[in-house]
Amino acid sequence: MKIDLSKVLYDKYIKLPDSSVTIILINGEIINGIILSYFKGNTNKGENYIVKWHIVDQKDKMSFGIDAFGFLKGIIINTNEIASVLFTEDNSKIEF
Amino acid sequence: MEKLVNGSKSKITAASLLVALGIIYGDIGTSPLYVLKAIIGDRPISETLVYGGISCVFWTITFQTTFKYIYLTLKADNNGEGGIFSLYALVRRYGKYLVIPTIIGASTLLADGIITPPISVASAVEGLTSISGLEHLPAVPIVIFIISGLFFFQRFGTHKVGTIFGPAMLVWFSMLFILGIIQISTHPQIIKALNPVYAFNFLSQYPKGFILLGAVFLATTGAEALYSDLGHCGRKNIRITWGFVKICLLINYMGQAAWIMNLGENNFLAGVNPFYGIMPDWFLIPGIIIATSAAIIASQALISGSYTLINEAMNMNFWPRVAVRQPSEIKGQIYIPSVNIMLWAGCVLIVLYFKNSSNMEAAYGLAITITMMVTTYLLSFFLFFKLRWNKVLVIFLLLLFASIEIAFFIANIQKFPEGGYITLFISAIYIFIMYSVYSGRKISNRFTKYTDLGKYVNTIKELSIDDSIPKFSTHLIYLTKANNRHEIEEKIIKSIFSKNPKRADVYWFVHIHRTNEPYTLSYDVSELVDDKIIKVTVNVGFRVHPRTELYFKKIVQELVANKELNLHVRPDGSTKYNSEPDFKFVVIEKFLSVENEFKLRDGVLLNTYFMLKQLGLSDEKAFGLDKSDVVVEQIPLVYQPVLKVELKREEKSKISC
Repeated sequence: MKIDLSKVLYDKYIKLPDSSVTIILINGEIINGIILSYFKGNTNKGENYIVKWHIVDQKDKMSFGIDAFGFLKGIIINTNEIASVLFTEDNSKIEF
Repeated sequence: MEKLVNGSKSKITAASLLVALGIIYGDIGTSPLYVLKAIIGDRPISETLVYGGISCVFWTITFQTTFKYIYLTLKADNNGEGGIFSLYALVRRYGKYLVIPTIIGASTLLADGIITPPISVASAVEGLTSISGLEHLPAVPIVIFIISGLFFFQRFGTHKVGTIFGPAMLVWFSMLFILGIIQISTHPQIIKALNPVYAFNFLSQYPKGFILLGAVFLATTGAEALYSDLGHCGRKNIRITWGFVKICLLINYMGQAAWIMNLGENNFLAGVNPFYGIMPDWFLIPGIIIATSAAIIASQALISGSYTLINEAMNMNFWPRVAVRQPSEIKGQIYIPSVNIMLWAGCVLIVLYFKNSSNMEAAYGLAITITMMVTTYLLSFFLFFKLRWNKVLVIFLLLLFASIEIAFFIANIQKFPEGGYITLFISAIYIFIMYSVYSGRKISNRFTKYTDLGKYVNTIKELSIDDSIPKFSTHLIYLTKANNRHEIEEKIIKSIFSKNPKRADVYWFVHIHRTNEPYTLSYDVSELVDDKIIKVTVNVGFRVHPRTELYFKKIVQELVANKELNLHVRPDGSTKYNSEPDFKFVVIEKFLSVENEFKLRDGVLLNTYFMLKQLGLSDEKAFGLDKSDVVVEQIPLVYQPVLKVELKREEKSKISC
């Protein structure tokens, strides 16, 4: 069975105190920021453990991920769009 | 480590002592403006009167201010804070009915506070009439102008001008000392007046000497305010500066007495205030300017004290919730617009009604004697239960101060027809408001039923994932009064499930717990169901104005940053159209149902409570909630349902099947 790397990424995110990451997407785009939150998948339907990740700037670490008008701060990335994630704190990398 | 008391270091420095001078002694420090004038009045000058009066002033200040307040009452600091509500918070667990004297004491303190600014400012401004050519100057408009200006500038806070209060009061007390010592040198025998025999002779032999205790008492009226301001400076600073202040005050009182004795036996003051009488002519104008500045500082302290008192009353559920603003970043400095208007109107009416300080003296002090008696009573609980002093010693102290204060009260009650009735009338209004709010809330709470949240956990979980019901919000927050972490109000359960069920991803139950400490601000979180049902208890001190939404956001941010909470809970992201989480507060307000039949007492209390509630801030504003994120639901309070309804059916009316 194929390893669900979203679960590996989730475990790493929970374990490290600092959630600063550099994410490289499959399309080559590079995103720097911190993981603020995530959307759990429905594993009964064959989805990844985590289906989406909410990434915000370092300055928005203490926020709800929304601005004063209720609009989203940062971006939402689908797990299946990620090529690799580099954790700044321990310099470890997860390749998808 | 230095202990921080209300943002001020309790460490003793020249600066901290100067701050104490500026904040603490405004009220008691300006007493020389009117005490001797009130004692002598239009009576012929005699040794029994002057020496006896000074002797009474000295022993009153020694017993009441130094021993009772500076030594004993300052021990009763509630995490650095003082005042009647702080004292009540310390001892309320030891007596079920302590709330009644506390309400009376706080009300009389507030009521007497309405006279302090007018009497201080009027006494200072009236000094102008001592200048030749200005004898007929109308003081009333000037006093009203100064007082109105003072109240107008409250909204901007005192953080900028506050720094000059200390040096200004140092100048004031130095002036009192120098003017006094010059006069004592002309009649050094006045020092003999410190002998208590003169006080005894005055009270026992001088015609109506006992009644004159009402005027003597004016020398110590500021002692209660001194205790209320404990939090601003700390006990040590107050105790050290009091030594200096007491010497300056006594020297000035004796200087005034020496000047009076130099007028000659059987002469009269003839309307001259001895306070200005001891000033050389060339010093009158600077003296009046210094006196007016001191009077303004005294009034400022009183106004700030009234804001603090009402804020505490509000947080302890004795006062309807009203808007509280913070004009500066200084901790504890607040501005309450409604209280500002109320005090301003009261002060202006007092000036217009009494017209001059002599008339105000006739009304001043009556209400504050009641406050002092209450403080003595509450203090005895503190000494016995908290400090565990010997019962006999506590009873002895209670009887000692009670007898002194009852004597003052009997003397002061003579002021009732002369204007004292005004402060008692204002006190009665405050007592009625406080008692109505306290009792109304108690009755209302009696009808609050709590239920075990555990019984509804599964149903809430089911509702949360039931896609057939439109989502109400991502995070739904209810304010609850339940102390127990597993309980919430039944009305909250009804709000979630009845009519249109409120589906949410996370249900929060936030409890604001008022602590007996003044500045507590902490929280604890318990998760009843992982990322689904969370109870938060925010511990807020009785001097802190609750800002629930701000606290809640801070708590959520911390939980998210600590990875204890996930913002996006739905398995498939959020709605089809957006990913943003939203937070919605539900506030459940009670209103008095028309379907009630009351007994007279309950009807008056409940109707007053709900009327005051309507006049005050709405619940969402009082809890500091942003209106856009709040849903207010109203439920009726049916206290005593109408049982007898004589409703007859018309005989001809029929329903066809």
